[in-house]
Amino acid sequence: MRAASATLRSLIVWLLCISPLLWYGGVVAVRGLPLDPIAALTAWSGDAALVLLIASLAVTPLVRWGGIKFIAAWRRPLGVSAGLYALAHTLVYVGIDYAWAWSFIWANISAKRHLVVGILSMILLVPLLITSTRGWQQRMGMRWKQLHTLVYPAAIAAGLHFLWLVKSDIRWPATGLAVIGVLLALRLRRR
Amino acid sequence: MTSILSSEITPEQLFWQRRRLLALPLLAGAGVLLNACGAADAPTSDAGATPLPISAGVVSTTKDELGNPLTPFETVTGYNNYYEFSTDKERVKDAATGFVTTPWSVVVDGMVAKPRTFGLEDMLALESAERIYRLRCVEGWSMVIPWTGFPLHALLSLVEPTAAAKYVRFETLNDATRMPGQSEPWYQWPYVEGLRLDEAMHDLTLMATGVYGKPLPAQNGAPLRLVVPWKYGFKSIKAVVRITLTDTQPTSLWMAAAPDEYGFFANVNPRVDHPRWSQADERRIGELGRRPTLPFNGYKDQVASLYTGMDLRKFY
Repeated sequence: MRAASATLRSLIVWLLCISPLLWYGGVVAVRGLPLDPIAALTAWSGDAALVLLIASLAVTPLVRWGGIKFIAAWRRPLGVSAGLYALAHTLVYVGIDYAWAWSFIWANISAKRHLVVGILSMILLVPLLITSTRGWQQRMGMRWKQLHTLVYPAAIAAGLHFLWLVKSDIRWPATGLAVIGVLLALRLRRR
Repeated sequence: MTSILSSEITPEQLFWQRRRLLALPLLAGAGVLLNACGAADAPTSDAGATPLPISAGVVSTTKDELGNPLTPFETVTGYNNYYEFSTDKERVKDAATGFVTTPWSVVVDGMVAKPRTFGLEDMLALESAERIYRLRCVEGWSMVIPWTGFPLHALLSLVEPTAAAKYVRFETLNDATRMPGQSEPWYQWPYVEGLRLDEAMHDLTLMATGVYGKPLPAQNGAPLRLVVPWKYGFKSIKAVVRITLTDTQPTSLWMAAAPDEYGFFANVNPRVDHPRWSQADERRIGELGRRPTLPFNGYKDQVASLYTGMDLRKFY
């Protein structure tokens, strides 16, 4: 019985991690391929990364104050998939949208604040992705925990990346940043 | 190849109504509920709705003068920046289905000798021609579109602008019941755009009434819209109802919304960045990678003389 529910729980988190793929797969099945698939891929991968990053940040508060102990094991898969979606997002931009045309990309990055914070967020997430295995966690000990606090600035940078990108309707990015703010503020409280 | 009798082909207008037919029982049910709440004015007929073309008509060429292939019809009529209907470019087409454009009239007033209200039929009677134009959106994407329409100067010469007139102000229909996006509070509706009079009189400046050899679909700005190919796409205002000649520079919707991001001139210029992204490159929809953006969108030879002596960084 215990084994069955453990399997179910890992199935749920696995489904959560691939839910963006299922969702957008469904969108394409119903509406057909987008007319600007590159823009869609960019937006979809970015949305998925941010949502899963927020989900991974929600785990600790829910375990500590929500009493939902069993989801503690979800933090790693949620965080890893957030990092992978962010990596896909970056590769779509650099490799497909700009087809590795570095002069164009550089012209975009220089002085464009939403790209600067986006890249910052990606740079912070890469070492977390690399050290996300249990092996690295054991080898690094206490330093692993310190290193992985980088997810906090990475999340703020990702939220700002989204906020500074939109034209006028800031409802979604503002909501995202507010949730990130609350989730980080909760960590400042004593247990 | 199997031959299809012409009688078996679904007329285009019927094809477009197929979803509406499916929705009828649902609407009827909803109508009962709505009536119970006192809303008795649910639309009962689609009389006058613009039939939406589902296929391209006759176009004389497959390329623009620089050799760029035309953007496919499905993309031109399915990927539209038109906040009056939706901020999702690929939802505009569905959101605009059933938008009624007849009757339609355009008031031309202000500093003119002969102010006049034109019916759509008056406009369609003006000599129409095909124009293949590149469209460069300020967001960094572009298309090549075969428009049909008449040059704006043909219309302006009929109303005779006075010597005092310096600018032309354009206004889109302002009716949130027909353009649901206008109930969004983020922008000051209606959409307003403007040109300097010499820009408006330039032969490239087009009032488009058709695309791909068909009447303009609602999502492309039916029944008529401005097309100024050397300026960013947002200058090319859609569903125009008023054209006013004036001596003061009009404030466009985008200038009001974000004055540091959108200027009055908005000439395509790879050397003047948008505050939030580079304008040096663009993605032609349907292509991988990016193209360099051309000064004045490739119409430099025709229009650069309009701006002689002007600092285009300052007057962006």
